[in-house]
Amino acid sequence: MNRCPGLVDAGRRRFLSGAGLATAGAAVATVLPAEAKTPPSLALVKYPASRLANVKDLKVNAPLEVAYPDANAPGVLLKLGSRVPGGAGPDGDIVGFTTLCPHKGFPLAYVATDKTLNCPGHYSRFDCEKGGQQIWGQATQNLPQYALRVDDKGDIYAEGVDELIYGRLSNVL
Amino acid sequence: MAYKRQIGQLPIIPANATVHNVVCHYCIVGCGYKAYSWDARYEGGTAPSDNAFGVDLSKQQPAETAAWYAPSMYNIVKQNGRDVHIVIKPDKACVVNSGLGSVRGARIAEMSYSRQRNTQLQRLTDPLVWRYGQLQPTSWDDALDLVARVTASVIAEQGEDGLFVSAFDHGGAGGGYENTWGTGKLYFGAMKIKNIRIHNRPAYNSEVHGSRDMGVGELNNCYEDAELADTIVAVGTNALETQTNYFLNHWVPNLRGTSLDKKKAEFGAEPVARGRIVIVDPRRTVTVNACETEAGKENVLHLALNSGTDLILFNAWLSYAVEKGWIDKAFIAASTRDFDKAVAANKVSIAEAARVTGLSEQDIVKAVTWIAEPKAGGARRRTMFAYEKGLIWGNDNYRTNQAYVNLSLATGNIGRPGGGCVRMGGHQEGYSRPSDGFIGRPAPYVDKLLLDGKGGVHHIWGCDHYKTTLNAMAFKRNYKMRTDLVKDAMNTVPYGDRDAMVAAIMGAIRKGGLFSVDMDIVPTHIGEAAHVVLPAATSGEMNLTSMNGERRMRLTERYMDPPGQAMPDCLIAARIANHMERVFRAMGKAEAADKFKGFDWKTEEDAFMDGYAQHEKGGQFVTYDRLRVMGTNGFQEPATAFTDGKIVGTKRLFADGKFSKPDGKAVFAETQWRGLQAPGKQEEKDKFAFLINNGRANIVWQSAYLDVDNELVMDRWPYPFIELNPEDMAELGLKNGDLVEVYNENGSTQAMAYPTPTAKRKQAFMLFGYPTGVQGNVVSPGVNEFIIPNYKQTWGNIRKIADAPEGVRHLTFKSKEYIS
Repeated sequence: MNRCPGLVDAGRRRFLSGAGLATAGAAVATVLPAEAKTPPSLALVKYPASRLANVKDLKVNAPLEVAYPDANAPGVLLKLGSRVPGGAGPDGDIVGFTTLCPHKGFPLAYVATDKTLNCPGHYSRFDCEKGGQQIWGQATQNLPQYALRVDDKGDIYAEGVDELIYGRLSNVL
Repeated sequence: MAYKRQIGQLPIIPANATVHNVVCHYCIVGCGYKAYSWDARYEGGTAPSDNAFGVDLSKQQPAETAAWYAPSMYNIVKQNGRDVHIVIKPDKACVVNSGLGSVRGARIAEMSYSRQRNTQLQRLTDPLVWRYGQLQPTSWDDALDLVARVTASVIAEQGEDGLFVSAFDHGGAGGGYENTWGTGKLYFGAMKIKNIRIHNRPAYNSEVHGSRDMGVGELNNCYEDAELADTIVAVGTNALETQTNYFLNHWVPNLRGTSLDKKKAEFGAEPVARGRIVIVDPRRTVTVNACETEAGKENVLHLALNSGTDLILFNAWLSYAVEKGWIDKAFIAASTRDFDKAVAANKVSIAEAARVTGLSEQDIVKAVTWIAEPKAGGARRRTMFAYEKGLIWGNDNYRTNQAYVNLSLATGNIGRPGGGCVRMGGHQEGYSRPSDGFIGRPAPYVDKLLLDGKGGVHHIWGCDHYKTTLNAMAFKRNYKMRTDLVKDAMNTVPYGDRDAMVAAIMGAIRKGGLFSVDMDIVPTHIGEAAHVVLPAATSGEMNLTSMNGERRMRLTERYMDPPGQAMPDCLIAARIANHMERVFRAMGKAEAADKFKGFDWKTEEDAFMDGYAQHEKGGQFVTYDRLRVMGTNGFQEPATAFTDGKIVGTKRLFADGKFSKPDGKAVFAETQWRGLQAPGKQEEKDKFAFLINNGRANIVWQSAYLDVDNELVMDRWPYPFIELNPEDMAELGLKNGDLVEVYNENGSTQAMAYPTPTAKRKQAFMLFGYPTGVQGNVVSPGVNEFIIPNYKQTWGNIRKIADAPEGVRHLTFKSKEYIS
């Protein structure tokens, strides 16, 4: 897998430098105990490793609909035809993204002519060749991309997502 | 690779979270938000009873759900000294945005000061003074004493004209009724400061004198009018990027045809149809693209005219409408003056307008037909006229503004449903100050006076001229030289010897130096020249009232603590006044001291009740408690009553046909075309190859004063983009992301080449006011007769400086236009 290790590390450092993004326990109604420092739990959730497809299932620039981390989280696998950041597989050109727009959750449509995902809701555009960077739009995050692994048999596994998916407060429900 | 937060889950808002009303403090639209906060050690749960939404959060939520928030809407902040989780998310119940969040507003939480999560740590926490060769923290009393002593000494020597002021005049962050009143009472009440300018222009003047002088206040309709109009005319406004949710929530339904039921309900038997739009802009924007997507190309007319020629187009439209009889004679007779005079003076043929604008005669006629031709059965066509910086910061501001209002008056479209002649706006508004009438017109050209060595002390409130003024390069050179004189003098005496320090500063001022005091929430570029920096609180760290582009007034409640010792601007102004009173008294000037009475405010609410409640139309009906109840929908100004526990507002201005003139009649204006009006512009155009058009980008708020510390924004735009036609790029030897120099006789600046196939040859468009490349460096000092700057008509040459640097190589350079 040809993944940018620097970015993953940067994200982890950023997280660890702050307080926890998930705290333990449900809310206590009214009376609060005196402040105490409790170690934060992890913001990163435990992702399943899910087989999404085999390399043979993919044609260059033809989107394959998938779902990850579960059946209610629609996504897409793409073989872009040239090596890209975050690209997996023997040619480093296989990428996967959620297809729920991170702005308001509308389904994104793939435009093969310029390899972008476009939102019919409010015109946001994401570049599949640039790690899902929002070219222009309303979302306050770039498009959640899958961490992909391709094994010896050519099976493509998703093992994580790098941003929060629309419509869920935990990527793994 | 693109910036990613690596966040896979967020804390859940518990059912018992505290909820505050919030209005986005960035653009004029003023979208409604709610801030949910709760103790940092807990969170809610996925069960419906355990979260604020009453929803099962263990399930995927649908599109447009209220039960989701993005990581940018979350943070950990201090509230009354305790750590709390905070989620600031769009409010579905707000009629302005109906739950939509823009790429700016949906980052309010992430753009808050958080030591816990390392966001906006750039925020100023302490008063700073120039001490031992650098800015050092000090106490409020120490800093204010120095400010008051130097300011009083300068006034004693030079009079009040020796005090120069730059100050915000708007609403939202860095403004609002409390803070404009606080600063206004100081400079227009206790003093009469005429060498004062506004945050984005070099004098104290209205951007829309033209409209106001005709008796037509510029924010005269309501957002619903965009849903009701038969035709929208959009001049120099790229609303999808700069008034995003106004466009998405109120223009798009009309263009899609989904507001037809609303039209039928409002207009009965009158024929109605899906809306059409005329867009006047030399550049094809994403707004044009979105309108075509929604309305179909056949309902969108983009007039890409020659830059700066809007005035003659409007005159031609008026002439044609009059000739065809497409005017509202009854309205003109009952509610206006000087119509015939203006029609005669402004008469222009379609052919002449086509020649000057570069448009086809056919398109000019088609546009005015869409605007003014009566509907089937003779019903008056309802047209909404919108405009913003393309007109305001464009050629011949005053006349162009008036020519546009002429047409809207002639067609009877002001004060009527589906009408209005309105600026789209930048910030929210929030102006409440004592009269500025003593300043006169034209107001002093403050930047020029500073360049000429005038003034001894400069108070700056939430402005950064280094990024946002015209002729910025010359301004910076000169300002640095003058303030360095004072810094060098301060370095010669021990800081603790206040008398010696003031004497040293005054000595430097007499030699041409300038003492600079900067009030802001963040370190600014001009703040690098300052001798005293005072930390201000922003919206949400204080209670703050403002009104949006349909005069909708709301209260943003204080939901978090300001950083460190930061205070609301109104209280900083009050404390300056207190110290000025003390210092003048100590100087034996009792009469001068007495003018600074009346600043004993303890809270921002005190300033509000002293200012807005007592001085603004309808202010007697408005209190914080009442505004809290009115929530994110508030009321539309002016308030007219308080009935059944609610403030009653005003949906549209001038609905009774009475305008803001002594006789109630709007006045038509004579607005002859006179070419490029500002001195030097035509020569610049003749001499340089490229139009350096300029403006905003969706993702960036204002001068990026907060965005500069936001990873998402700086990852996307590490440098300001300059959109160029690919063939121009090839001629200049440019690849995507290469850094270019833009230069002319005013100065030079840098930008990042962004290929844009829709850009016309030799017409570049550069992001305005950006910290890593200031477009104002190349804008000439030429202004109109009322000292309104002309940023848009700028011409320069372009050359390559360097290959795309590392921070640029991961960027996408694809078209910004949505593809369906």
